[in-house]
Amino acid sequence: MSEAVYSQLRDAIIDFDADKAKEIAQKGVASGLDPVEMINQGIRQALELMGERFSAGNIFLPELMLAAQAADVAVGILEPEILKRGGTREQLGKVLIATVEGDIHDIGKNIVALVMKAAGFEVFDIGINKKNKEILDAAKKYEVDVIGLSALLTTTIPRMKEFIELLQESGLRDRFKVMVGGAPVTKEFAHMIGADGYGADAPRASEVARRLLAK
Amino acid sequence: MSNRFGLGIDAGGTYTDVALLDLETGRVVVYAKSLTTRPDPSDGVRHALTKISEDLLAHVSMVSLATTFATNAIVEDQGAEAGLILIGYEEKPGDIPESTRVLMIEGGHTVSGDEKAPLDIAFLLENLESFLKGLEAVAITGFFSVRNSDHEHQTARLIRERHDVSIVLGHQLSMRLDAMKRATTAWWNARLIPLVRNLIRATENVLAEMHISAPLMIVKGDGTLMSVDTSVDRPIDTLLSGPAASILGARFLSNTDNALIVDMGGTTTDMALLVEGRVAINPQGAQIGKWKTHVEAAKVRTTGLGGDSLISIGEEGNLTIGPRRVVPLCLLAERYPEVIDLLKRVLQRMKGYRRRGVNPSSIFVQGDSGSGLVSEFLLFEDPEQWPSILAIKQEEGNGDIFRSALTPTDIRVASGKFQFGRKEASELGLAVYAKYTDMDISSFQEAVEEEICRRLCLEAVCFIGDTDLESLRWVTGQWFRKTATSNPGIGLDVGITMTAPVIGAGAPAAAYLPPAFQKLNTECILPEPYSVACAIGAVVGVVSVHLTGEIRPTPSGKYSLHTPQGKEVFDTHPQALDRGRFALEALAGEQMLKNHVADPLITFSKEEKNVKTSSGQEVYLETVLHMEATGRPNVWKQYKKID
Repeated sequence: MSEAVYSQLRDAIIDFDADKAKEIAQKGVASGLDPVEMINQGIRQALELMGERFSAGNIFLPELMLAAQAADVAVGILEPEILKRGGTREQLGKVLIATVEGDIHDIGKNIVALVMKAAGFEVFDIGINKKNKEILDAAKKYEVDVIGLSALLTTTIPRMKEFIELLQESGLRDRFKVMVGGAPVTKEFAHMIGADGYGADAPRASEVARRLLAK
Repeated sequence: MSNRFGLGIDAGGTYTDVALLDLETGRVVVYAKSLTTRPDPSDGVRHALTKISEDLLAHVSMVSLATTFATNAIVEDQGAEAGLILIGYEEKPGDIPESTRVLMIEGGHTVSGDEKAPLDIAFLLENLESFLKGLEAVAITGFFSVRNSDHEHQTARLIRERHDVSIVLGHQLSMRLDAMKRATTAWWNARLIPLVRNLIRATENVLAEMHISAPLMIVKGDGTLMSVDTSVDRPIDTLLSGPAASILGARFLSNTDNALIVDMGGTTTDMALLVEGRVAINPQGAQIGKWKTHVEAAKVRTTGLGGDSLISIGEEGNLTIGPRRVVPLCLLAERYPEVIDLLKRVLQRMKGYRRRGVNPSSIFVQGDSGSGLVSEFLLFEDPEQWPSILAIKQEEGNGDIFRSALTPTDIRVASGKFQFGRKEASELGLAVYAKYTDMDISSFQEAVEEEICRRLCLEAVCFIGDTDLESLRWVTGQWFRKTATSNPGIGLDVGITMTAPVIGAGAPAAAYLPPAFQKLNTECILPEPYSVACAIGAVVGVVSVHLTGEIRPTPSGKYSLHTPQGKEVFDTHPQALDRGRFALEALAGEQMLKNHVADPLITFSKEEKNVKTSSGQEVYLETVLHMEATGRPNVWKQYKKID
């Protein structure tokens, strides 16, 4: 019975059917299934599959987003249930995400936030056009593990380097893992500015964050 | 005979070594050792120098001093009363003690060297008087002062116009990012200024007494030299200068370019790396105890294991060596012959091992007269004396009385491998221990040697493998057990092989290093006179200055230049580059001159950081400028053998 529900949940997400995902999540809870297992066996597996398909070029960005949205709706049903039962959802870590100063692009950032949230990170999305100082203050306030910076313009990616320098100057470089991403960003760039990680797309960013925190 | 000798001095932990090197031939002419004196190490220097004939000293044309003085001061938390002015900091560094006077003022800069906030001069002047009261030195450091040093300079000028106090500016010590480490580095530098100034004056006085008029150079933690004038401003640069000088000495004596250098002294063993002929530097900056600094210094692993380490039996019956340093029995008996009778009495009363944590060979010495020689073991025999044991241990902790006991040095002396002090005392100490542990003398001796060997190997493996003991416990456990098997004749052997040789330094090196490093399947070179490698390394060093600057794009399409002299903005990249190169070269020349080098070899290099975006567009990030100047002090330029 339980495997059948996990499978339905996976299918609903793969079909981008948020209504159905919500309905199955509710049904599962009503029939006494463990919400933690529903997330792990159902939602997370579906997202990993969609992530792989996206990275391989088999599906397009809107499809990935729709899947992540469906997952988000189902998690929205399951999360309060976990808390109600006195459990905690296994958190992979806290992530702060922002688009750097002078850059108002938020689609890429939003997708990464959504995918990471669905993957099990606690995500603090503080928005676009954020000064480095604001980003650092927020990271300290929320006590995050990972800081993800997004930029879409070649004129704004230098802010990412400056952010890492601000961390160094503040004596906080060891306290946070820094990831960078966005259309112009390359792995070489991430390496050159001393970032800890880079994800070519949202699923890969999520995977890199997971690896960084496992160390 | 022309003036052509270099005099190297290593005012180290336990012993002060001096060595005379012929600067023309590279030959070590003579060397001598004496016990290091505290609190003033210059007495030890005097004692050591009196062992060298005045005729030879008359031909000294340069003197170079390596000292652990600053390192010890930091370890022991001794320093002058120094305050800290933090400009534009949000918080003070966590490691600065609460009792330190700190003045936090508005100001500081941003990542690009723009003013974060204007310097709050009114607030500074209002509080300056009360802040400076009773302070001997002040460290000033600003947020992002490495991108713009203006506020540090302004603050210093305002203080100098009104008060006479030593001032240290953070950006002058290091151009690296990390305002917290910069503050710690500047504050400790300020604390060390009066101490090191006194040490240098005292050493200069000793040299004058010996009629040595040659200039004094001081060894830095990266093995290079600085003049007295520079060292008085930057005493913190002497951190770890002892190990660094040992590396250079070992290289000079052995002609090897890649090696693990193991300097075994009286108190500690220091390990460091010689990589392609250079001292391997700790990229994080020197760390002394809990203090993390920006000082460019050798990467060193120090362990409390040396010739004068205390040998003891732990609560679980395990043999432990160090980390406490004591006076070897053979040395004590030379000064107080009655030690022999005392040890004989201990041996008579000894009935074997008891689990009491008593050190059977320990003798406490109260006062200078030696009237109060007390055996820890005999005190324990008499329960009425037990309270006095606690009192003695407390006094020992306070440094009021000192302890002598069986040490690795005694083990060597007893075995006849080393002649030092009174052999009989060492033999008696060893006999006491053998009886205490119910072993025969040679087995106990072997156990000590094996334990030292094991410790040295583990330290070397951890150091080279860049890991800690805990994570290696399993592997090394197997390794030392060798053929652990239930089938006699068929075993498993686990080995570790080091791919570079070991160069030994320090007096106990010959006894312990070759067997230890045989275990790591590598050669151990002991180039004569390895026992004074550090003093020799002090003389063979060069003066070297490495300055950096940066060119960064500004949002308005211009180029900002950041050097120790401050921030300037230019319309074009070539303009910024020309100016940067000029500024750094002038500064390097000035600093070399201050270090007695008139015609340095100056090399300029730049790292252009451009990166391609995913669409193939080139983005300019920055240019890092490096100005490296090296040279020998003018007094002995003719010397060509090293390099």
